[in-house]
Amino acid sequence: MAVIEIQNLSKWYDMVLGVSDITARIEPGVTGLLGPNGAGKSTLMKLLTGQMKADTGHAAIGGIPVWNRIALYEIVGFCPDMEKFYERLTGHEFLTYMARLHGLPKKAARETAFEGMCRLGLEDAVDKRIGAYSKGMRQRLKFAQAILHDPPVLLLDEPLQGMDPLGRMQCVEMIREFGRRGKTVLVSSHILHEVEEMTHRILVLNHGQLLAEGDVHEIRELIEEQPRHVRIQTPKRRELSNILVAFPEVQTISFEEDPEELTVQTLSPDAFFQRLPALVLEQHIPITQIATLDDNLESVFEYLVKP
Amino acid sequence: MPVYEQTYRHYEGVYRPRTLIWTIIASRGIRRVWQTKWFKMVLFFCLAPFLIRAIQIYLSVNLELLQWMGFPAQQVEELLAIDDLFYLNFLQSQMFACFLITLIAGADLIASDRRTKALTLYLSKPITRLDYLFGKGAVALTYLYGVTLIPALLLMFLYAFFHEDWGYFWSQRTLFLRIVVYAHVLVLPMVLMILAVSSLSKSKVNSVVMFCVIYLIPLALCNILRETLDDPIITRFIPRDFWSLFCIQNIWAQLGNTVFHQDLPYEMHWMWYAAGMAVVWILCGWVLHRQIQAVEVVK
Repeated sequence: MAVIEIQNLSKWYDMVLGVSDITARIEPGVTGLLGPNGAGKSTLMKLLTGQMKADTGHAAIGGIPVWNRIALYEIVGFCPDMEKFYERLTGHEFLTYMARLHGLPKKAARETAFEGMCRLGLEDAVDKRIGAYSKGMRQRLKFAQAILHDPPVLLLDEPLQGMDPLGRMQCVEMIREFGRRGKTVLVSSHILHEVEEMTHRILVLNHGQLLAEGDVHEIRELIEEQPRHVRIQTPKRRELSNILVAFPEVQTISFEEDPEELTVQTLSPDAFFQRLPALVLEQHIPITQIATLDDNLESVFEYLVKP
Repeated sequence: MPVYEQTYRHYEGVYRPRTLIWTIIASRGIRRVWQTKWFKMVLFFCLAPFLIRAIQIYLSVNLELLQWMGFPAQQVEELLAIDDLFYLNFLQSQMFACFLITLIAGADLIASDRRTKALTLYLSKPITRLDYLFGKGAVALTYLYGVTLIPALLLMFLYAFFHEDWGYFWSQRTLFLRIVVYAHVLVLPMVLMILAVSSLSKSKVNSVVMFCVIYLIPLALCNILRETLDDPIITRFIPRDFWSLFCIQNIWAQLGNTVFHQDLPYEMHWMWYAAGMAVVWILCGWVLHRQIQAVEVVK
């Protein structure tokens, strides 16, 4: 049964499109909301948390329409994409304040705040001012305030951004744990492998539209079917291109404006990268830089929207 | 490093009533303002008129002391009369104090939340926009009560105390009501104005500047217009006091004298000034309605 139901949801900022005609059903467990920067992930999150009114369509969480319903915030924990905090407060004071806004009495709020900090590995920073927190610690604090009231639904907007490896690991494990316990977690990110660590169920958003929905592995396969572009920088680009033309895995070679750069298109990047070092050594062709151009999510989306 | 169990404990106790959630925002804000540098000193400075009035009440009970010091009895008695005008003058003398307190206590109330994008956090908790505004407004309101309503009522108490006349409160119950009403006429628009101004900016300094402009410029303009357009040809169409409607200080003066049944400083009916006050409320409400949103739309 779907916990989050989205029906033809659209939002414009005057002439700029936020999200367009999104329809989705999100069931208990972890679902990744994947998309490049500016895809409309945060807009969708804010629409789902009732912080913004949709122009058309409707959305409900646990059967509660998301717009203008206070009861929604009792079942939803929201981790917004923001970096600044009340710098003068300590982490514990901040979380206590947030817990009190949920209606917890002072003592219970303090205890809950302390537990929240411990849960996110911030027990050593309880009395430290937020101003002295690292970016990763702030992220964890932000995450902690979202789970303080143990909500059945969690909406996490880029929760791992800027986190240190340990904090990241703890957060990923916690998100998975939430999913295992039957809670509904919608977590947004623009990094594919980050989402893969947490779930296999994804919604792919680009230019405000829902581009794909389903298993992350299917997306991976789609990516792998596409040719990859590798940019190589060498002072001997003509000599190198003459040799690369003979490679069966190379589809095309193009010269860039920079006289020392060329771009190779290949369907088998692994084979290409295995062969390249030997060539460099045998033919004495110096290579100063190699960059694969397709590893970012933007290009994945470009492939997906190709007719 | 301590290892904690990775499980979750839902709070099963009694929750605070939803209607009182705004008090949490208020109490935090009140504490924060109290810790502000210079605030206590300014507050003490703002209470100086109260001390002077308290001395006046004391002397009004001990007139013989002044007569013994050689002051003429009748003049002293007139000068130290504790009547409705005494309380009205006290409240009106506190306008500048209100201005200072409002600036210090209110300028950063919403601006700081806009600066830190904390509105998103607030509005993702089970509180309404109205709860948020009540909480923020209560911060400025508390301190404004501290320099208007509370000292005025304390002066009534002092009068009763020095005269050992505890029936004073009952016999002067209409005065008590007038003080309460007029104190609110003074402080509520102040609170609304500073909230609106603070919601328009992300910087405390900008809020301070905007509030000063809104508070002081119309006063100067009204006085200039009133004097320069004091021509019989113009006043045939536009009453001389018409321009006083555009200045909150004039509105306060007219409404104050109306509430305390004193001679009115302006010729126009007090209802016009009440309407002017309503416009201020509506404008501030409109600004707050537009500005207090979790999401900042960047165009």
